[in-house]
Amino acid sequence: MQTSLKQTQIASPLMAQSALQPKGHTANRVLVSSLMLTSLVDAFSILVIFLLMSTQNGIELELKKTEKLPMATAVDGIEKSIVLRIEGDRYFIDDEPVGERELAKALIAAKDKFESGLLNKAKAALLVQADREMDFVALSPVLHAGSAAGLSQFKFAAIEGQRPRQ
Amino acid sequence: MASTETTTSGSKQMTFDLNLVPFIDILSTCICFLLMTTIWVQIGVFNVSQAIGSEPPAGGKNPPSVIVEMKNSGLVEISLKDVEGMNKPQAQDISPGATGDVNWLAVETSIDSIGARVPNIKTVLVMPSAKTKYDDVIRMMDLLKKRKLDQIGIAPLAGS
Repeated sequence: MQTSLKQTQIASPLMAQSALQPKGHTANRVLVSSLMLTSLVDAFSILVIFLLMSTQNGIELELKKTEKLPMATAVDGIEKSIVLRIEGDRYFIDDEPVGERELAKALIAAKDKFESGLLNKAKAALLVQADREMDFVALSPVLHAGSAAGLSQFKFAAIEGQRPRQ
Repeated sequence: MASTETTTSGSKQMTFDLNLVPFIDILSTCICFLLMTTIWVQIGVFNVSQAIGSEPPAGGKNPPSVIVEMKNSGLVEISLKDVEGMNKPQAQDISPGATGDVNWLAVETSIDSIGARVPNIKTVLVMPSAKTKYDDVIRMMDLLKKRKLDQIGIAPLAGS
C-alpha cells in the first residue's frame, strides 16, 4: 500500500533540492539560484533617465537662505532671460551690481548682448527675482528701466503652489 | 566580465553571461546622486507683457479693461473702463480684511462678477502703491490670470 502511494507521489522540486534526503531527480541539483537582473537594470535605467530629464532646467536661479519668493499658481517654466535680482534697494543684473540710475543703460547693454548671441535669436525677456516682502517702490524703477530698454516681456520668479485660503 | 561556456565535448558556446552587478552599482550611484541634487522646490516664472510706450492708432477703439488700484493699508479699487454701453467708468472699493491686508475673497468675488458681466474682457492694469508688498502684486496678478484676464500690465509709480 505504502509503496504504491510512493509511486504515485507527485515529484516535488522542493524535496529534490533538500540537502539531507533529496527525493526525485537529484542529478541537476543547483543550490545557488540566479536572480534575474535584467529587469532591475531596466527599472534603474528608467529611473536615471527620468531623474535626468526632470532636473533639466533652462537656467539656474541662485536663492539666498533668507530670500523667499512669492507664490503663484499660473507659472511657466524658466527660460533663458536677463536675470535682475533685487536685494533691498540694490539691483544686480546677471550678478553684477547696478545702481538705480544706471538700470536702463545696463538693461540695454544686457539686451543687446542677449539678442546678439549667435545661437540665441530669441527676443530678450527680463526675469525679476525679488523677496516677497519687498515693497513695490523697489520694483517700480525696474519697470521704468525695462520699458526704456525696450523690454516688453517681464517674468517674475515665483514658487509654484497654492496659497492657503483666508 | 563575460565568460564563454565550454561543453563536455570541448566545443565553445558563443552565448555568454554579462555580469550586471557593476552596472547596477553605477546606476544606483547615479540615482542616489540625482536624488540628492534634485531641487524639490518648483520655481517658475509669472509672465507679464508690458506695453512699451507707443501711442494707440488714431480713432482706434480701446478694448474693455479693468483697472485694479492697490492702495495703501489693503484698500483695493476695481474699476471698469471702455466697456460697451457704459458711459463712465464704474468703480468699486474693497475694504481691507480683518488683519489689515487685502480682502482677497472680496476681490475674487468682484473679479468673478466682472467676468460674468463682461465676458470678453481680457485687459487688466494693476496699479500698486509704493508700500504695496511685492507678494500682494504677484497674488493679484495670479488671481486675475486664473480668471482668464491674461493681458496684464503693471503701472510703475509716477516719478520713480
